[in-house]
Amino acid sequence: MSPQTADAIKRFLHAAGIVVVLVMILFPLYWMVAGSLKTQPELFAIPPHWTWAPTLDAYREAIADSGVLRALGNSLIVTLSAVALGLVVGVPAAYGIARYSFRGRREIWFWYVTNWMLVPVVVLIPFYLTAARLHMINNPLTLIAVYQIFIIPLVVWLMVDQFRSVPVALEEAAQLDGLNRFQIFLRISLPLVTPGLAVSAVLSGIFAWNDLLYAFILTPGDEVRTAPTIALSYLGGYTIPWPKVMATSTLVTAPVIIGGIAIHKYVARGLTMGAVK
Amino acid sequence: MSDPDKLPLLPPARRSFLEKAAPWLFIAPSLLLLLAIGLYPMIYTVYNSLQNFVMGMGPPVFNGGTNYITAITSQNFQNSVLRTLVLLVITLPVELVLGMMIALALDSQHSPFLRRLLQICLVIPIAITPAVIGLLTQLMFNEQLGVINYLLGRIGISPVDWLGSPTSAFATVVCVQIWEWTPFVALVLSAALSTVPPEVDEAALLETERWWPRFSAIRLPFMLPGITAALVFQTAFTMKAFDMIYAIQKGGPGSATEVAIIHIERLAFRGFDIGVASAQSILMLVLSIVLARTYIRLFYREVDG
Amino acid sequence: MAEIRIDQISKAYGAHTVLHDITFDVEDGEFIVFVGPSGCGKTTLLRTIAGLEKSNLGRIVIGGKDVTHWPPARRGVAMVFQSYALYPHMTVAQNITYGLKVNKVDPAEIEARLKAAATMLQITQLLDRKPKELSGGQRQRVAIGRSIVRQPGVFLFDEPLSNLDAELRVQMRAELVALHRRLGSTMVYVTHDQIEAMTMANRIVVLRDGRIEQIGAPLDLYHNPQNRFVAGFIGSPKMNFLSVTIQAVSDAGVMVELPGGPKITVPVAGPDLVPGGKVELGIRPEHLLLGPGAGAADAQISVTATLVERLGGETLLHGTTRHGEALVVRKSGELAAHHDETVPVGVVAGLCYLFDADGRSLDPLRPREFPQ
Repeated sequence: MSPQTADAIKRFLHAAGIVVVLVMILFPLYWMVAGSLKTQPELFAIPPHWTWAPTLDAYREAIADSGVLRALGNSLIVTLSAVALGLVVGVPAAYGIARYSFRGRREIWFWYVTNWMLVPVVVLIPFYLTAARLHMINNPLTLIAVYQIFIIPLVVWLMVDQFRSVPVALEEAAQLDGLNRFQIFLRISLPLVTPGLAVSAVLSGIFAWNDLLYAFILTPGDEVRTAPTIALSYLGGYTIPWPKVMATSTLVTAPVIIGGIAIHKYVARGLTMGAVK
Repeated sequence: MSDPDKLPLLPPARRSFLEKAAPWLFIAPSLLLLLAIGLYPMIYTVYNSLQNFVMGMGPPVFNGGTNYITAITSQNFQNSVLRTLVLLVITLPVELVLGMMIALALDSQHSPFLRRLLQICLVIPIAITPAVIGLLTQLMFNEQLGVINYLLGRIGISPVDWLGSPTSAFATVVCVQIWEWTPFVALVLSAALSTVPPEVDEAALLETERWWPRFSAIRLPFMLPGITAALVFQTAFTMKAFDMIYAIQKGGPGSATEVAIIHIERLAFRGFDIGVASAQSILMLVLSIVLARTYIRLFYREVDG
Repeated sequence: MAEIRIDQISKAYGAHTVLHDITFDVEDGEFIVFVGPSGCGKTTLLRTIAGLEKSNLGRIVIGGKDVTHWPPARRGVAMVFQSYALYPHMTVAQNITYGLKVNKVDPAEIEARLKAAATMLQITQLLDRKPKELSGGQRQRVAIGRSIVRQPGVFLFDEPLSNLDAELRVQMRAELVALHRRLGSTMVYVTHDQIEAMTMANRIVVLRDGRIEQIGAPLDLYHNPQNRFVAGFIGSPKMNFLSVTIQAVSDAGVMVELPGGPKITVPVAGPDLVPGGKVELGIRPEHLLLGPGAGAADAQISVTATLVERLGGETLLHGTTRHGEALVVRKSGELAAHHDETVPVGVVAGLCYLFDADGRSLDPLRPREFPQ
């Protein structure tokens, strides 16, 4: 076999391997979107219909069901608020850790990171008990608070990384110009790390949006339930309206998939707290 | 994990009170918040785990370590922890091997467009709502009407009752877990692979044309921190896994897919036994810490250390 | 021991061509240096010889074997990288012997070769250390040791001295020359530093934009550059270039007018030149005359000094001609001239070069006589 042939075979196997992985990843997604554009009989046709007249009926049904829109709205409010809170408290913390040496810095750092890996039930049970005592069950504020357990570690990690990349000389120059630490943080460093802010906001937003366990226990009420919970809510009935479930699922997952793709370069680094580049 | 002591620091400036207090002023809000929602609940859980505490059955009463004994001797809890560990032991090696293959495919020079596309698409299973993955699993793995059995039928495999029997239901969870998290492992390993300096790789290429020695002796040592990270975080994600498995069939059929978190959730919020559930969640916490520390001791090596 | 034949090598990344039809031979045992500005293709050419890059067209023949499609490890070449590329997790000894072990060389033989290389490079006491415990110069020696033990037919060096400080660079330069003399192997060396090229090479290949500008022995390039680029690249400080007008073309050479009016007949052939046309006159700083000797030259021009650099053993006078063109004069010993002073500078016709509109050097009518 000539070297060119061997090379061609290698190229082909490489491309074929990638295509297989791509199909594995994308087929369920296709099946979800396709299902949302089908009618119930069509969805369960055997053999499956690979071409059909798409219909938006399932979406009309899902939107007409006030629960779906309300749940999407609830998720949006909770996610945006939780991310905003996480950024407001997490970004200054990241700056403090990135730029100062003080006793306990290392310990605080590791403790922040371990919260990201915490088994959720450890927090969930006492949170539920406390919220119940304070009449905060079914209150979105409870979710916004509990999501900080993973948002703050994510934000702090990613932003420490960002602040490190701002040259210290720049801040020293600002210091010589007479700015104090807080002015330097707000006017010099913060504007330089806006791309990092966007990445940490999207990444933590994805996890807040996707959460089922906390929302399931802490905000089970019809008025306040979030998007992942509503997607599961159809399962109780005798016949499950699958096109409507798939339409709802598509609506629920669209924002996180778009957000994930937008920041795909940073996902590995973000989720492992910078253990990899 | 990045060592905070290696970060560049501002030189000590005017040591006014404000300057000295500055780091704490920056950190205080997040610290207070995390103390309130992270540390306080954990302490509260430890406290609850020492109480005889069943909701609606009167006030909690201190009962020593009895809950821990109940937890450890509980057949259901043992089974759910065992299920979690089996899930871990099956999925982790598969995810590592598949993830490594994907990472190596991404590292190649061929088909730049496909590689770019794959890099983007790998994020989809990570970002997609796990509850929706569970729903899709129900639909696609349906015995009679699911597309998986249809496709298997096309290659001559008779229909499998994926969700019905305990064994196959667990296998389904394993498959879906691998689908959901292999891309994460692949991305982490891909990042780890990129820490191999190209010239070092080429130096090895000049010494041997065999792939395996180059991979095992030259590349792998550079990848150990990344592999450790993949193990630590993937283990944490598997131990935390609730949403997807719950959405498939709430831990069923029977308790075939009832992993530890589902068991504890059920005990606390359906069985109302807060005391024992708290003890069990503390045990799970300890278990996950022990696993993480073990990985770090076994695999973590700085390549030039 | 091996000779290398580079036969019509071309390489492109997409639409961007980095090597254009390169052909030349390297003799067995020769020390050849590729030199050129960054981006000229010299490193790509070296990596193509190593097999780390594939050419789109052409052949590489090493030791009589066509290795164009061979993997790097089979070509019998060893390479020293700019960053040294040591394996950070292995000790010095492991670094040096890895290639032998993986190729199943007899352990006694490995030990003997390791000992010989370590002794030769004076790194015997470092064998148990890890690369990060070594200085730059020590790492360099280990990288060289790693290539020596493999006893390759060809050594390839990719700017190996560029990460060292100036003093160490001079020392390593001498050591590499001594190493070449001792081993007698074919060595191919890439650098952007023309001084390294001049001091080390048997022959130099000057590259620009993926093309060979000239191949020759160091002094040959210095004395007889074939074009304006090579003339400007070889020699330090670089050659001065003045734009001049042709006055007459005769059997005695080409007469041109220097800035300020003096005329000079440069003894080169200019069959295609016509009076009134423009050419470039090149003259090296060390060939311009200053002080008492200036009067004896074929012509004199006035130069206003803008900067006088006194280096002790020599003096560099930077100035401008009456036309405002920059000029550098190099004089051995010291010089009394100061800033803003206008001094006469002597030009010797026989040491001038003329370059036509395409930058080609016009052929001299007789060999140039360089001062001893």
